[in-house]
Amino acid sequence: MFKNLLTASVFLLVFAPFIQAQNLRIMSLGGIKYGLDDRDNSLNPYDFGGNPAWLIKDEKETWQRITPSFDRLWGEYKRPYDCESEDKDGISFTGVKPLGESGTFLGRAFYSYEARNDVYRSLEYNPYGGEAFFITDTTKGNFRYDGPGVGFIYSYELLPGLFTGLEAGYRLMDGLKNVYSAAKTLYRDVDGKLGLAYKLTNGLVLGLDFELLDTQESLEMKDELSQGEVEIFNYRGENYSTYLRRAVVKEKIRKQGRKFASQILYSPAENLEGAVKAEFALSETKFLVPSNGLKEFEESFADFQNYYLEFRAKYTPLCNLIIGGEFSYLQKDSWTKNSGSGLLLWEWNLRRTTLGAGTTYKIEPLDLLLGIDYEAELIKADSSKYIDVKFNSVSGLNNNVRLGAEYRLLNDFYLRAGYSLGRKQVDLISGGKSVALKSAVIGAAINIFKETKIDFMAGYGNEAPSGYVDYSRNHFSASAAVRLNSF
Amino acid sequence: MKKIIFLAALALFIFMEGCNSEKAPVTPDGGSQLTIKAYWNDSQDSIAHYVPMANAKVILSSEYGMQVKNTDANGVLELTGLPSAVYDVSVRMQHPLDASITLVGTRLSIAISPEKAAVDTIYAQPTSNSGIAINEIYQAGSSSNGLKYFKDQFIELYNSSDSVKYLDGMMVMRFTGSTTAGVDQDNDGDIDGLSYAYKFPGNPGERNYPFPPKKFLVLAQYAYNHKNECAASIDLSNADWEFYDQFDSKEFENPNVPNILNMKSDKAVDFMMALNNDVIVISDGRDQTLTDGIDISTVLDGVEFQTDSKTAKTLDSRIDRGYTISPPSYSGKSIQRRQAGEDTNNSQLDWEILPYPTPGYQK
Repeated sequence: MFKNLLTASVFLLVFAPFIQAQNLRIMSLGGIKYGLDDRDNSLNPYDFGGNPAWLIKDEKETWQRITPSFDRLWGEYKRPYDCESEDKDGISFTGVKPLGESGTFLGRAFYSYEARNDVYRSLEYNPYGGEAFFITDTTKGNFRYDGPGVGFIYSYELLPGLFTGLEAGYRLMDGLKNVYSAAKTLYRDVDGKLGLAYKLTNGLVLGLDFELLDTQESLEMKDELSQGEVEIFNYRGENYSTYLRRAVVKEKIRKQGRKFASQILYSPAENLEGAVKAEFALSETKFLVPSNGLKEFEESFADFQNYYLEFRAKYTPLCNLIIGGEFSYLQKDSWTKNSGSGLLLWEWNLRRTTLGAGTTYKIEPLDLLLGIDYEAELIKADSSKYIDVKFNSVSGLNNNVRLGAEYRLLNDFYLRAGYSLGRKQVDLISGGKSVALKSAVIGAAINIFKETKIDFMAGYGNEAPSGYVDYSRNHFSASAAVRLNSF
Repeated sequence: MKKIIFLAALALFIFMEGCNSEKAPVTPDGGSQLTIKAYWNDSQDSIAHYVPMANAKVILSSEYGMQVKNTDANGVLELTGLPSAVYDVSVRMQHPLDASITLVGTRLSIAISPEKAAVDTIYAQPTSNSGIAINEIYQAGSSSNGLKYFKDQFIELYNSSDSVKYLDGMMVMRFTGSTTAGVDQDNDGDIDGLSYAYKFPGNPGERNYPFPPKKFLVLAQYAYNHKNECAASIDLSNADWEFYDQFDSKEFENPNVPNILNMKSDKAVDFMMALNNDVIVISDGRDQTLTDGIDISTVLDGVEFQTDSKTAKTLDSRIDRGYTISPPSYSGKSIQRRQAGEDTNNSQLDWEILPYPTPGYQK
């Protein structure tokens, strides 16, 4: 049984904010961000740092947005426990209401539906969570996950220049495998964040926020009814597993985390702004199995520590030219132990340094905006999987170029297009070497009267390691956003 | 200003509290080594002469399941990269001069520490293989087209001796109870928790029902072609013996197959085994007083099967030091001794799960 050594270390779902919807304009422009002037891409504590305290300053108008979305993923280039294809549909409703002196409120509700086809053995929603333990059965089947989520942000000016904000989110999802072991999943995710922001001077803002996260995945598998065709195993590492034999096997995967983040936003001149954010996150995952029917026994434990530092600057030398750049450093450290014996099973770490720069230029007579971003990423990862006597170290340089264009065809009608091209020397997600990435996006926006704006985007992406024929992973995504400026 | 100080202090407190995280263990799991050296005594006199067990089968059992390996020509097996666990090891091979003798050596509860190398020497003894043993139990039942069927259960016996044995008066029993099944409760040398008791005709010592050497006997719950009822089942119409509950007027009986009779009139039920956990015992029948337990000295063989290693073992260790894992209910799978009749009194190492039942023969 093979499980990629470092996979998912960068895909931890921990601290994925689900309040902030993706900006379709930025996506339609191929993801350019360094030199792009966009209302959701500002260097302020809310857009840049996700600090809820600054919502009151970021959102001044009432609006609501309805966003249906569709995603499809398919192709052979994947990890062993990934599904062969996936369809993900969702719809979200977001509304913002400034309440004057009482603050600003943002509310969001969404519903998502995921159909994962031909999942090999894995029974977990996120099998590549970075832990050395996982649960499998012996069949390949389809999973269906669906459920709603709600969230809100409330921001308030506590004292002149001092802002506070509270963010909370709750997501519930259930899943079902269509063949034995007929695994049932009940997944819930609770997230809360408290933020502070202080406007020291007109050009200097300090931000601080603290986030708590609690995710629980309850699994229930049937063994007996499969008449012995299906067996269920708890893996420790890649090779060693314990066989679970009960009429109904129940397990729980509990993730808890907390994150501290701070932001400094500085604007020494009107055409120059810079921002720094530093984040420190701790999280842990416990594998819990019921003991004596009532008490839960901790089978395994995994610890994660993340450090992240990002600096971004934006300079506007001319009214139609913006230049931006970024430096970021990410460090992830993790270990897993067998809680029963107290022995260390796996240790891994990841270091990622990113340097990026970009610019946009608007050709005024043509009403055409052109943009380009370049990003270089230096990655180093080490893994010591003691229980399997498997030790690995990988490093590599990844490059990515993004191009975007926006053309104002009519007064209230815009056409957008984006293209992205990259190469990863090492792909920590799927384990490939020299992986070529390309994606193309198109989009449009139309303002209908003054009250309604509709954005649309559709994109296709492909990842393929070199040296293989017809071996790639494809991604198609389409989304629309209907924004109403009142409700 | 007070509010700012309060909020700053609160943020600092939260940060300090939040930074407390568990420390990683110092000792890693895995990378352990185990070297097994296996010998047997081929001396014909009182002076021991140990020779290596070349190409002997080694069975390792731990929480991570079972591994079967072989020793090299020097009787040595080196295992590397093992996770820390408690291992039971059994080494076995056929006697080089006498095929009827199996050389068996067992070492239980070898604790392998992480990243350590352990060496253990196992001295094998010739096992008697000279009597009657339970050789196969098919209790799981089968299923077909949604029908779940367990009336095809059977027990297979094997006479591994070179001489004819006699079944007269021999008893086949089932012990139940979560804590009492096969336990010597009063420490009086007998096992308690008797639930079913069936007996071959005659009395111990009589010689009317021979059991030839190296032969299998199939004792069927119903000596019937069960394929007629469930397509995935088996034909037991030619079983050697049939359990027959003479206290039940509606009981099915195959007139061509001799009966093993129910000894408990208060338990008018056929010899049905539990699908998952049970204790099956055979005795020579000298102790037929059922109310005070069955004398251990009369027991010929006993086997306990369980669904997993987390269920407590109950059968007295003088009869069986281990237990065997049972196949899932209605899976059509069976459990059988690895080698016909080979009984080291440790079912954990002696038994294995078969993908299908083999009544009357060894897979």
